[in-house]
Amino acid sequence: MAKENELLFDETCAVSADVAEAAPAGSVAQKKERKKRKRWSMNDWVLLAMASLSVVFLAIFAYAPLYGLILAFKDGDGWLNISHAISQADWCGFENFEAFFSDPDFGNIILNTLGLNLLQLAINFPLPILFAVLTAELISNRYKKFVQTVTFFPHFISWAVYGGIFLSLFALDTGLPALLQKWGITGDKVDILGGPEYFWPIIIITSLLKGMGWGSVIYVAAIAAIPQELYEAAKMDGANRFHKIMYITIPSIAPTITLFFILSVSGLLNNGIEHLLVFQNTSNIERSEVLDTYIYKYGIPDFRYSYATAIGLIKSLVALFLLVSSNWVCKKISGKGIY
Amino acid sequence: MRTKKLALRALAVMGVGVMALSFVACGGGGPAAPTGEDGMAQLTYPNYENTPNDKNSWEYIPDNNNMTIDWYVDVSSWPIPAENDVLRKIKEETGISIRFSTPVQDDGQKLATMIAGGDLPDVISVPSGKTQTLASLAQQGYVYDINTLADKWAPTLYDHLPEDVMDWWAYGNNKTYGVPNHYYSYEDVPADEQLQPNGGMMVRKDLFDAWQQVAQARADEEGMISYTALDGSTKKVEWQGYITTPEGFKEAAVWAMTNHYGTGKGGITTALQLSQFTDQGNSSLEWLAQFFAIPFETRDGKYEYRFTQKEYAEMLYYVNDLVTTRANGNTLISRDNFSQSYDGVGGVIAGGKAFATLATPQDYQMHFATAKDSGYEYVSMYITNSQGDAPVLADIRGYGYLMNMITTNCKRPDLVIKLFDFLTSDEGQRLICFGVEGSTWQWADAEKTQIAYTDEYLELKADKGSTVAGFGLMTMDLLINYQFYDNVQPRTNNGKTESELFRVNLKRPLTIYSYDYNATHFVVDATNERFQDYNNALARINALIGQQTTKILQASSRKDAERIYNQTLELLEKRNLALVVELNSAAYQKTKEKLGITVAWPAWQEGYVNPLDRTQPNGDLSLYRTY
Repeated sequence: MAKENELLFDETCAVSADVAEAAPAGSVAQKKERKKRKRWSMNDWVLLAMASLSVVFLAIFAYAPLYGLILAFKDGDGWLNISHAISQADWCGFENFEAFFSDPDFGNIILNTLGLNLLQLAINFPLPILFAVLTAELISNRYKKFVQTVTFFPHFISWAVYGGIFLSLFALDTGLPALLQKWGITGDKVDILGGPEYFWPIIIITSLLKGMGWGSVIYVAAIAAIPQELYEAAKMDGANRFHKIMYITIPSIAPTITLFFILSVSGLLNNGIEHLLVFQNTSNIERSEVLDTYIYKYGIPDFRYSYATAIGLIKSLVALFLLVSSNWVCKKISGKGIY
Repeated sequence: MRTKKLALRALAVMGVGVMALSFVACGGGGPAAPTGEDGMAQLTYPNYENTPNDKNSWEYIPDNNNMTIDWYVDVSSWPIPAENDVLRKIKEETGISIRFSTPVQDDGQKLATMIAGGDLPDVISVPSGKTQTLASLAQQGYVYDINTLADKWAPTLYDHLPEDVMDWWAYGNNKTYGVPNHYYSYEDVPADEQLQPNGGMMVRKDLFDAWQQVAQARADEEGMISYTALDGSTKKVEWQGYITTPEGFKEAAVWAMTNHYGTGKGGITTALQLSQFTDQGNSSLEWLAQFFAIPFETRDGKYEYRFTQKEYAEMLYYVNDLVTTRANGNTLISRDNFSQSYDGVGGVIAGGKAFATLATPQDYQMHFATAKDSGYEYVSMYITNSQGDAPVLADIRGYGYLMNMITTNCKRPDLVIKLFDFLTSDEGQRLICFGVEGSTWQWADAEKTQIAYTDEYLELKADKGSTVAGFGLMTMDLLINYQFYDNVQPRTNNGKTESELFRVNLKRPLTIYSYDYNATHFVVDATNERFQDYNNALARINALIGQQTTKILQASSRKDAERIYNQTLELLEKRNLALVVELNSAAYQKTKEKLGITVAWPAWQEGYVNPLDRTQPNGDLSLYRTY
């Protein structure tokens, strides 16, 4: 193996040397050759057409909607037609932002948004990695596939159905709380669905159960791409399983982990709504109201487009800041980033 | 190199072009209509010939008219009727077929998307509780006003649509922008008739009867039970009515939970089932406030905001007491209630798992019917405040929960207003309520005052193996004058199944305590320049009250409940409650003027007779109907 690498190295050096020798003699013929190569072939046009699709996509779905951000600075609440709100509503400066910052619920909503996301980052981010690493260590392929299928399956069920199972399971009078009390494990029925203190744990656990298998896919793929020769070499050097995980697997998938970590940090203000709305009720609202549910409830149904846009803009700016700073920190620490 | 530059330029131009196209695509609906002096959109009406009023307007529709209109109902649960005889007859009379649609969810997104994209259908039905949406649709020129349409193309609509219904929803410019569904007009309600209440309390009959035996055993020689009232005084009441006092109900609830708690057959899991708690509040608390006779105005006739009333706070503390008091280790009101969905509440009722309920009976009528089929019959009952005032319940009258509006996107508003005219006429009402004449009903007398269902229809209805859905009775219920139906329906028990009769009578015995509450159904003037601020404040205030109420009710003690209540009052001030009260007060006074009354609270009106009868805890059972 080492010998082969050596040969390859020598050949590369030889090619480089040839080019180096030929360069000073840069002739008119060579320039012509280079120019000739730059003439676009049919393949180049096809590639351009394919690439332009992404430009079109970004233009429609990423850049064109940016125009709508001016709604955040307009008095467009109550306008039924967003286009009319954008073009005809009066400018109002930062009033929509001030309205949000001065809202009595502002602090609570930010606390819930950040708290829940930080917890998810601390728990739900590393666990799929650990799961992928442990799955890769399974010897029986059939068992491995079984585990992966079982853990993937919940991802394909909607939150309305999946959440409904837990709503029935945790029903106070007919579910787990009643059983636990009956068995004498708890003195009183624990109001899991109504207690604000249980909301974050419910979200963490249910999203973990639903998404851990799916979330580990990318890491499983990254682990599969690690050359087996590295493990064989380590084995010959006396490395045990733990050593192989620590010194081969984890470092090999580190770029993937870094990429997803940076993206997760930039999404610290995003919770999504379908998951939260399943478990949200008026009893746990003080811990379940996050930015996304707040915008959903008071933005669109009440036609408060300007207010919702202002909050969305704040979210985007914070996300941008988090993306840049987390990328910078990752590069400083590990030398790896997404750009 | 030149080719590359050209390609890049082409790519850039394409990108800009696509973005420009995107802007254009997002700009659906064209320019907004100009605003008139009345604050409403100034609309241009199509130039169709005006319709004379010498005969019904729909009779002017050309015989060869053949059009299909789109009718969007902004309620996900509204059942879209399948093709049936009634819809076919409507087509026959007007040449108009109706294609209905509803949203998947009640989050307002579908309507918002249709408006934004300029894709409004011909007719929309929007919940009348969405005051801001209704007003904005009119202000921004998305719907025609009914008055102008009727003046031009359906003058006979004024003869068919009761005047009070037409006026009720009028804004400051005296124009109405929609026709409500399920309305009860003063013109149609018989002067001497009391309508049944909107809300109601129900109790499981077998447990109620068992408790009454316990109460009877406790009575003294005169048949009275003495008890310590909430204010600490000693009071006496007839043993039959002990359960109708808050103190007696609590004792009955403790008894029921102590002796009948269980998840198995026959057991109960809660002593009082409330309706679903949402971020817009809880309807059960409104019904309880009416049972507790909490006035909605001051003695001098001024509007009072419900939540800030001292009596309302006391009522909340009473419910808190039921939530915190335990019997057999379980709270009298199950905490499960606070996180239950509509189906969850319905499941408790259908399973007979509640001793008593305060959930709106008509919203759960199928669940009550299921419970009855399973052997758990619920009957009505009332409860009073501790002072012993008779309940003052809101009757079921009203001006609809949906507004049917003709949009400015409508293909032929001149014909659609004629369709409205037909549907609101007696002929149209008979059609949508009772079906096609000769097929499902016929006149019972020569003077054509009474109708009777046909034998064919009754036989089919009685045959469990057949279906009568194809006749289409009550399926097109978007423009029903419900009192008309009640006045005209046959006074015989034929035509109704046992289950239907049970549902008709659910809360009818409580009718003796029900009154006209129309003064509280005021419409805030959308032309007011602070209307948007009002709506923003109202949405947040309703949500705050919804959230805080659950905390107050679940507080660990009365002291804690009082603390949360006082904290809520402070938060309400921060959310601009003053503005909401100010505009509500103005609208309330205007409504009273419209109704021609100075005192709206029924118990303070001249001629009020206290109907309280403690010996009839279920209300007046003689009011049960056989039809």
